[in-house]
Amino acid sequence: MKNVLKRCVSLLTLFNEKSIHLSTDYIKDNISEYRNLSDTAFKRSFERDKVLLREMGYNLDYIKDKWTINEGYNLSGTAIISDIKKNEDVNFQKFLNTYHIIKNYLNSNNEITENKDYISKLNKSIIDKKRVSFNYQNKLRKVYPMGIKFFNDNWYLGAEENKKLKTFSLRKISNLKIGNKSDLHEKDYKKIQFSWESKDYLISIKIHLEKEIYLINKNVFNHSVISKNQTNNLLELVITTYDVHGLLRFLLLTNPKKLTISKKHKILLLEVLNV
Amino acid sequence: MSKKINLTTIGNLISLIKLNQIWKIDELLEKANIDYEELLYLLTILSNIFSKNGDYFLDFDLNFENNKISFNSSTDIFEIETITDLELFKIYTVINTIDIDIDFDTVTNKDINLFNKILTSAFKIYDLKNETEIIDKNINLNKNTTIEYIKLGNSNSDYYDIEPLLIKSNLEGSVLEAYDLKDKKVKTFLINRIVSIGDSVNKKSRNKNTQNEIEVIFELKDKSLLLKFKEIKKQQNTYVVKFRNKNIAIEFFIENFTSARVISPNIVKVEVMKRVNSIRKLLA
Repeated sequence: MKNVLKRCVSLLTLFNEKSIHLSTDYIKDNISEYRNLSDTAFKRSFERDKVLLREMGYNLDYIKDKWTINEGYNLSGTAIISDIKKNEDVNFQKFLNTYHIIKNYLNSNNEITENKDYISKLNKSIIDKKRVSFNYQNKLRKVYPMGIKFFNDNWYLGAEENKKLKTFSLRKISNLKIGNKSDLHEKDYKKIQFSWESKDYLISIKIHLEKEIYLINKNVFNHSVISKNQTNNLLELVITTYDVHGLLRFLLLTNPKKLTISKKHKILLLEVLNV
Repeated sequence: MSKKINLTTIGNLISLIKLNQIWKIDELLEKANIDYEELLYLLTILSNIFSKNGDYFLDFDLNFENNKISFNSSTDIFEIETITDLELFKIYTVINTIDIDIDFDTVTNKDINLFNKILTSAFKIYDLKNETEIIDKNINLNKNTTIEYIKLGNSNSDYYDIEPLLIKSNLEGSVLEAYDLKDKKVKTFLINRIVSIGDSVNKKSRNKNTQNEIEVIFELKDKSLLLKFKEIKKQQNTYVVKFRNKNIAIEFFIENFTSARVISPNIVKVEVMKRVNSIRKLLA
């Protein structure tokens, strides 16, 4: 393990703002642990180290572009901290201090297990207003990414395809490629809506339940609280949601004492329950 | 060594070295979240790396008597960005999806909000926080406190005197890992099931849970449910999974009624169906 870690740090030291498009030979020659390896052993070690670096958020990609003569490995995945450092309005030392303290107390194991490297690449494409392409449900998509959205423990990409805003599940995206050109559009969406988030699918419901029961179950579905009245420990809530499955889960878990909902939506919920 | 050293630990240490060339050893250990043995291990790795111009990447001088460590780093160390977008993204996600306000002795809630604001402008993320909700739970992660908590599968709360340790996000959601001062062991508490924190907690005696593990056989209707289990056995067309106790199993299959149907044991099946029928009645 010691050697692997040493190799990975050595790899990181090879890349800086000036060192881009590094060839495989250059990398092999400049890292002592690689130098004496046979070509096959080097390839194996290098590929394993790239995976390890990707786990941490570094993307070591081979750039080969038909429009430029430069090709070779580039390191990416740290654009955000570089931008923050350059931002004169930010007290960077204070930011780092907060980061180090928070990091020791917050730990996310429930990270995206697939497509980890896509987060950084997509975020950069959104900021740079670039076009990206990827495979999605056996179809090649060419889209303008606009933002990322979290719903029901899954991450989604909001992107414009053929002038229409669509949402794509991040875990279903494969073979992501980022275009070269920046500033391809002027658009900036304030909100990304899922396809089902139209007025036609909005459910409004009034429920009566105990406050604690609401508190411990409210995160099972996305909803907005329209009004809230509390008498002793009993809550009377009017909520709206687009998430029929989530609402049903919430009702099953909380077993409310009373509810008021339109006949149309009662039928819809019963249909889902009886499937 | 108490925990696995990985590239993230190294990145974290490099990031701290970049902040200061001279450190008090104990302060560095605390900030890097490592012990003395781990520090020596990491320094052995880093001091064996050569920079591009042939110098040592990192040289250090340890002074035990004065509790000091000083670093003599090559310029390469300052050129490495050790905080990746992914690391920031993970922290940002946890801060914004936990249903609790946090602060520390050395970092105030205001500092965290500022940190979060900086990241918000860096990431283009929508709807992480429910705008209509006001969080009324606050925890200082350096102070012992009391929490009122409703265990999974229960609807009544218990209170716990705890020393908060860590906030994690895992398969079950956001979790507070804390040392139970009464039971003298580390326990995990799902944050959304913590009803109140601090002086407002209604201290009642804690019910002892003596229920045993339970094995449930079920039929699957939605494959994505399998992602919620760490261990699961397949038996022809059915699945078998173990739960910590009966109540947790019942709650799980109530919540996921549309994705799975319980076959046995009857004690779980009957309770799930009772709840489903109660909702059917409400909707009829």
